[in-house]
Amino acid sequence: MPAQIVMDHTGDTRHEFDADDKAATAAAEERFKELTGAGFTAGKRIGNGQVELLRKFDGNADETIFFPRLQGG
Amino acid sequence: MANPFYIAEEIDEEIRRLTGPLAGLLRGMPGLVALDDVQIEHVSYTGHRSIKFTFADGNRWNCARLCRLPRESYPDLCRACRSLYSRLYEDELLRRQLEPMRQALRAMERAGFQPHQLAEHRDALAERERHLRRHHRHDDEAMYTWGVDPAAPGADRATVSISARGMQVDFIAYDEFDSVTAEQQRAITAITERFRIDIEGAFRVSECYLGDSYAKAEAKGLALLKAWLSREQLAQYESQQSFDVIGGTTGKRYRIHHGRQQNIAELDKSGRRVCGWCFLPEGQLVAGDVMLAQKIALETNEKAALKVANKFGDRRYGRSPGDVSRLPTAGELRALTYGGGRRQGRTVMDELAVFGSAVVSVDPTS
Repeated sequence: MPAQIVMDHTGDTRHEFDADDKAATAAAEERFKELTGAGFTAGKRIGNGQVELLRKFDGNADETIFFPRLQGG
Repeated sequence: MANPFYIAEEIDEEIRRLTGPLAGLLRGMPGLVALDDVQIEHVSYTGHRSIKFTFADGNRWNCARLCRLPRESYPDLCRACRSLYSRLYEDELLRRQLEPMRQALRAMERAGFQPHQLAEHRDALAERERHLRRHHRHDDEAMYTWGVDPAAPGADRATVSISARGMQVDFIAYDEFDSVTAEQQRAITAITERFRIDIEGAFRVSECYLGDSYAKAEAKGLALLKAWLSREQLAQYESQQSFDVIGGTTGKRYRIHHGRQQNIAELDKSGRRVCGWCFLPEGQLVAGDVMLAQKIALETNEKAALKVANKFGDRRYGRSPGDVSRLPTAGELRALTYGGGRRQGRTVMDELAVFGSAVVSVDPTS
């Protein structure tokens, strides 16, 4: 089942959704837009440690990770 | 005479229930006293933690307590408090990272690692310790000091500060009167009572408290990191507490050490350290999350990551001034007015004119 993993102060929060469920997929797409709109970076896992950045929602991605905007430390 | 004045007694039951052991956080909020002309004199990591007045007759009054401000000024103060708390949080996380690094070094020594590998780890540890000593010595010091220098002859300094002890943001609230007359005491009390701020700011500050939940978050973050590392990176991380990534744009090699800050080394072709880079996601994320974000950023969008990153290593780097961009300005402070009572509409300046004027200066980099 596809999952959106959002990094936060608890470690992360996972949002799983059924790709065959149109409503759930729409909600996941909405979450994608909200997070990326708020400055989060989204990436999907594509292989052994490899990640591809996502500019648009990909309902077929098994796992999409979101992390907040980067800043200098 | 000391007259402790802890605002915790005034917190209602609901907030007590929500904050539980964090009640210490709620003992006070920064007092904000304006004289004739008030400005943030400087913002620094050291300073006084009280408001001090010396009257013309030599009587003294020291105070740090909750203050009441108009609601429109809350966002600025809350931002300042959150910025302060973030600093403390970062300090604590950095301190917590030292012991695992020491343990890793001892483990590497026992395991017979090559001298150059040990030296690299020792250098990283020493650099982290140096950085902490230089820039994160906040054990018992005020973080922000809002100071006012009354220009009246014979007047003492007047400062307002947020102080901190370790992870506790400890806004101390107390009064110390030194032979002040009852009339002077009443005048000061009346003024500070008018500037009482509600608990909102302090309560928000408490959101990021490090406790048991942090240990759980840290474990969760590490599990996530390990799940997203390549097999080679995972093996390297488990043996060395660091892993290498290849920059997606330049092909350069970076070594991400366990940590949240100052933990990325750029390596040359022979594997020697060239310099350090420091960037991390916004918010209080745990080390595993931060390292994973750093890996993904370097591998997929190296240019953008380095654009926001700070470079360090072979040059001394200055103290970060912190986020002072949204602290109240002199004009904003001058414009503050009472929200109710018979003083409604009167400005802070009206009320405090009796105490003289103040020096205005801003030095956010001190």
